[in-house]
Amino acid sequence: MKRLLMYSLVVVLACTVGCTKCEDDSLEWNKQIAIAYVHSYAISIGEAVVDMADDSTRIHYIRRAIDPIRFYPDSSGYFYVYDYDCVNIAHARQKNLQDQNLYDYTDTRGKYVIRELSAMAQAGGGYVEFYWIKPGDTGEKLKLGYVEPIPNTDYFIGTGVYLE
Amino acid sequence: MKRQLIYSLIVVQVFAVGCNKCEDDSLEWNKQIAVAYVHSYAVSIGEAVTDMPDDSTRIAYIRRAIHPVWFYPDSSGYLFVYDYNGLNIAHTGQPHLEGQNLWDHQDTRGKYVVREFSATALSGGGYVEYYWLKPGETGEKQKLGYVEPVPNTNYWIGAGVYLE
Repeated sequence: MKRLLMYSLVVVLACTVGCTKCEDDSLEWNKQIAIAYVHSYAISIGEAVVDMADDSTRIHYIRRAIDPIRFYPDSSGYFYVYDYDCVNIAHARQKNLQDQNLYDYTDTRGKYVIRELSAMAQAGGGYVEFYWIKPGDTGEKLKLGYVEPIPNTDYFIGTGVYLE
Repeated sequence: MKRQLIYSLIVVQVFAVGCNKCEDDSLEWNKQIAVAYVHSYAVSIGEAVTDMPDDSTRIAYIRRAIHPVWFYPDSSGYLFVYDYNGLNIAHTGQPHLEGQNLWDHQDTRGKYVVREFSATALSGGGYVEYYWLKPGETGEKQKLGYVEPVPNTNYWIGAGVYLE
């Protein structure tokens, strides 16, 4: 009976290890998908704007280009674009943020979100953890943001994976 | 003793199922990454070209935009653009194909690859299995391609996962 119990425990443990491995993978893969979207847009926007006459044409294009993109099964993936002074250039979900300067904006934990994203983009790109409104949910949720500079501009583009 | 054997078999089975699940997932995730690159580029190129005066500006832009992008850990992921008559517009893996018409190209198994892609893109986009050269290897390898129409153009864009 004791041996039976031990074997049952081993089975449960094996199950847990198997499942945990796949779950860990899922965050890693979702990060790869975030990179795929951000990197594609950084390069294609960066090349498109060199043919454009002025800032208003460029900004108009960027807003049109990021607007239709949603990804992840719950459609929680979307783009945002800022300049390095933290002025919002384009936001696929919260249009009310466009043209606003979010340099002094802090999340519910006191983090200067856009300053950190800007610094990360200026350093070449990477991840920043912060809290942000999640579409279809109430209150701020923990998010892993990924940003890259947009070549030939003073802008950076980002997206993120909600971690809760 | 018999019971012990049965339990051991169950443990092994559970481990095997856990591992297989993750491996199967890997193709599914790699397909999602191909979709991410193709969809991003389809939308961002489609919006960019509406501001461009002529075909030669559009084509030069598309080539600049897709050429720097390689993905997957072995860098076997890249993008290609054709028109619906089989003319290659841009190809990151084999730039010498650009300007060539591949309507009559067949893979080693006799499939009219570009014709099938065109038909799939015309019907809104999707997957096509075929054989194609793999960067850094000799001979054609089996590949799962994913294509989408580029909005506001007569072009479609694709990428693929090598299955071997």
